[in-house]
Amino acid sequence: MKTTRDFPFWGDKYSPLASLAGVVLLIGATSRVSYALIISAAIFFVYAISTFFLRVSSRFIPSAHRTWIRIVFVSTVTAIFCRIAGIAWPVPVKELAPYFGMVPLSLIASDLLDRTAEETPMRTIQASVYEAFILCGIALVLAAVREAFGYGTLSIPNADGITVLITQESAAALSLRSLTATAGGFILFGYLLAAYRKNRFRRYGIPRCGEDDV
Amino acid sequence: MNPFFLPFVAAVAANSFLTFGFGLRRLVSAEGGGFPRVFAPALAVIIAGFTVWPVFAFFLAPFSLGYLEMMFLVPFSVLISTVSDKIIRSVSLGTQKQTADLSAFSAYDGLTYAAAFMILRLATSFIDALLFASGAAVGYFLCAITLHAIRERSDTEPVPRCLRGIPLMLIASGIIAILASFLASAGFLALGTHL
Repeated sequence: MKTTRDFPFWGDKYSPLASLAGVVLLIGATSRVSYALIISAAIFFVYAISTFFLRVSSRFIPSAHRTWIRIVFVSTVTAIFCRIAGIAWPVPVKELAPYFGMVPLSLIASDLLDRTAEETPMRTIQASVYEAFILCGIALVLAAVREAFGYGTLSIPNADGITVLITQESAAALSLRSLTATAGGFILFGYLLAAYRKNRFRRYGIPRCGEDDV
Repeated sequence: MNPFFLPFVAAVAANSFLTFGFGLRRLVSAEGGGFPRVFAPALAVIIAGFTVWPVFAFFLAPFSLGYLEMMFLVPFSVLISTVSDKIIRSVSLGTQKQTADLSAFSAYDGLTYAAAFMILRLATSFIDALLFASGAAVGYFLCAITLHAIRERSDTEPVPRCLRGIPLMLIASGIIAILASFLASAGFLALGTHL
């Protein structure tokens, strides 16, 4: 019998949405698909590289200062990503600047580094990429909904800002601009969580729907 | 019009939580912790006002950090958060559980980081930084009180079960954010006519 643990987007208490780690990125940086793509690239880059190098070098890191060394290292990897991404997409990277700082903080908050401390380096990368994939998947879905209904467009990043791939005039005329604001993100995310709970209750019969678990 | 009033009001209405969603997890989840749970992030934001601007605008400014600013700002905001956590725990000695708050290591879900980031971008003087930080702390505190009241009320009202808890808190946060943006716009308009 299937359980919620088999469902990758929610899984156990450490899954990104159950622990709500990275939820700021899901709400703040998903007003456009182009922004979500850049943040997704940052998440993959930072999660994979940081977890791998910290796992490989774990025996050389004194346990008393482990947390601080991790924070400084992950922040440095994020700064390197910002530098590289800033060459390709200078304008979008500047617009997303407040949210890049949340990438290392989300990794620290997710407890991924502690959970994979005993795994092999290869297994560590797999776990980090899997977690990044879940986070990015949700971010891209949210961004597609918010941009499509908020602006009536779908876009990808370019050096000067964004390139609009699809424009639907009728959708643009009916666009709900508040969806693209943080307030719209809060409300949309709240309703998506409620829909998930309802679906989970129907499919798995978990009677805890309505408590504070996600 | 008092020139100190505008940055304070701006920071209260458009604080990091309502504008960017930073500090969200702490506000919407119902974990225990009482007042230290709200005071610790607010204190961290105020400490950021005292420390970030002098450090980054004076000591680190000659190095022109650019993109590397994050390398220092993220650990610095985590440091501020852990200091705030320690202060609050020492003050509430005997009344609250004395274990360290692990969310301090995520700078309270980025709240302290966001405050530090915005101080560096918006403040032009030390006084500006202090006003901005205290306004952001007050704004966060008011949001926390409002959401706490909504959560308590929802326990006794006929709210659909699938909406109770985190989804309801998120929707309420969204409505508060919309109201705050209207209030901020109206406030700035009113202030602008008197400036």
